[in-house]
Amino acid sequence: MQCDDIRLELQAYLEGELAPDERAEVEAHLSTCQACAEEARAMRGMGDLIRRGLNEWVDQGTVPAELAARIEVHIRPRKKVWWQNWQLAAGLVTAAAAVFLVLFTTQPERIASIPLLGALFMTPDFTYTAAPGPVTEKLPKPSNEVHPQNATTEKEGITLTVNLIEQVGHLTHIQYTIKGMTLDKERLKNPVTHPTLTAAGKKVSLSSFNADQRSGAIVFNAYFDALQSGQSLTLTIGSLPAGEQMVQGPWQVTFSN
Amino acid sequence: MTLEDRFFALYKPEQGRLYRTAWAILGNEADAGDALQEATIRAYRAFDQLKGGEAAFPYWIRRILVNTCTQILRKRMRVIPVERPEDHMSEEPATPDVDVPFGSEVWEAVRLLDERYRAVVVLRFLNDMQLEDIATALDIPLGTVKSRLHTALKMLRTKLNNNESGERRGAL
Repeated sequence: MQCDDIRLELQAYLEGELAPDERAEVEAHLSTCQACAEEARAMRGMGDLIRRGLNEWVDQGTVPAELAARIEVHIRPRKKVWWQNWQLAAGLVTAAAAVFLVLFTTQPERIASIPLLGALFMTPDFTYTAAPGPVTEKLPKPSNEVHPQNATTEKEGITLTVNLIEQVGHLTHIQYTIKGMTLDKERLKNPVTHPTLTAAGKKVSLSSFNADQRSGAIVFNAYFDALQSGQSLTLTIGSLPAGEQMVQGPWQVTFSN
Repeated sequence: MTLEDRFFALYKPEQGRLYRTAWAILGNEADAGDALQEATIRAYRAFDQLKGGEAAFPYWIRRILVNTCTQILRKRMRVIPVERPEDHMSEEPATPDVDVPFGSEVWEAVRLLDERYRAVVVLRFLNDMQLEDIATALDIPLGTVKSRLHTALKMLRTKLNNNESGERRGAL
């Protein structure tokens, strides 16, 4: 072994982690190479110093009060009064909903005639107005679904599919999968491989994205600036690593949320 | 004494050390807090499986914490951050005027290492993990662990020797 190889083995040698033959080889080299022997001595000293210093620093540790309280609350849930018991509450709500559903489907005019219940329940989140007026829909929340579902494009043996769009805090999370590419962390740092998103023709800022190798596909989670619901969106990726090569796209999927 | 009480009686004397262990592996206090919370909940759920009695508790919970932290690290190393100009700025803090305790000085030098090097150094010297176990925990080749450790120790030697010679100059 050359000096460079020996130096990479010094840590394992100093901690007694080498096999007997490897150990003998390192010792033979150290007995003839003064520079490596000196490096071994310095490394042993530095290892001891780091070990002692880190342990001393860790032994002085305290936990911030807020964190200690947060952990304790997770493990010691406070005793609940009956109406705070979510299982019981959920059961009651379900039972009430079932009773209401029966009444609503069989005798809607009776529900509407009760002032409080009428005000609460007769303003639906979904409105269907038959002819002659237009059909209107009012959804309670912005839709998280991708339209069309699982929007896909394929080029050069690489398939890009958009699976999910959702609002996460102040960001929009878009999950997409790519089949036929290699998870190459170095080449994925190249901006040409980054997803770009446009909403109504304007580019949306990318905050971060991650990639996770799963069986048969790589799952990407990209986080962009917040979007309004119901926009036409286009996700584009310029180039991707496939095997040893970079494959030119672009892969482009247009969908709406 | 309830199960919760028994758990907390063993956990509380350890939590400061556990918190700093997570901080050392993950490099920041926010992630360390999340990791400690997750590891503590995992440990509590598995508390009835603790073998070796109360004496084994510190080692047992520390192992759960280190596993939790390395899972986070593996995940984080797969995240490709969007480059921003500030990412290239030095994080070197201003040199404090007061005497820094030895442990803090070593931590300060380790903290300034790039994450790839810091994680290997901390798992090796704070958690006494074998090189092969570090390779498995971080999902990197053994040769990469060896070269990172070697490079990290050289950087730390330079940094700590500079501090020392600076102090000597200051004392003159």
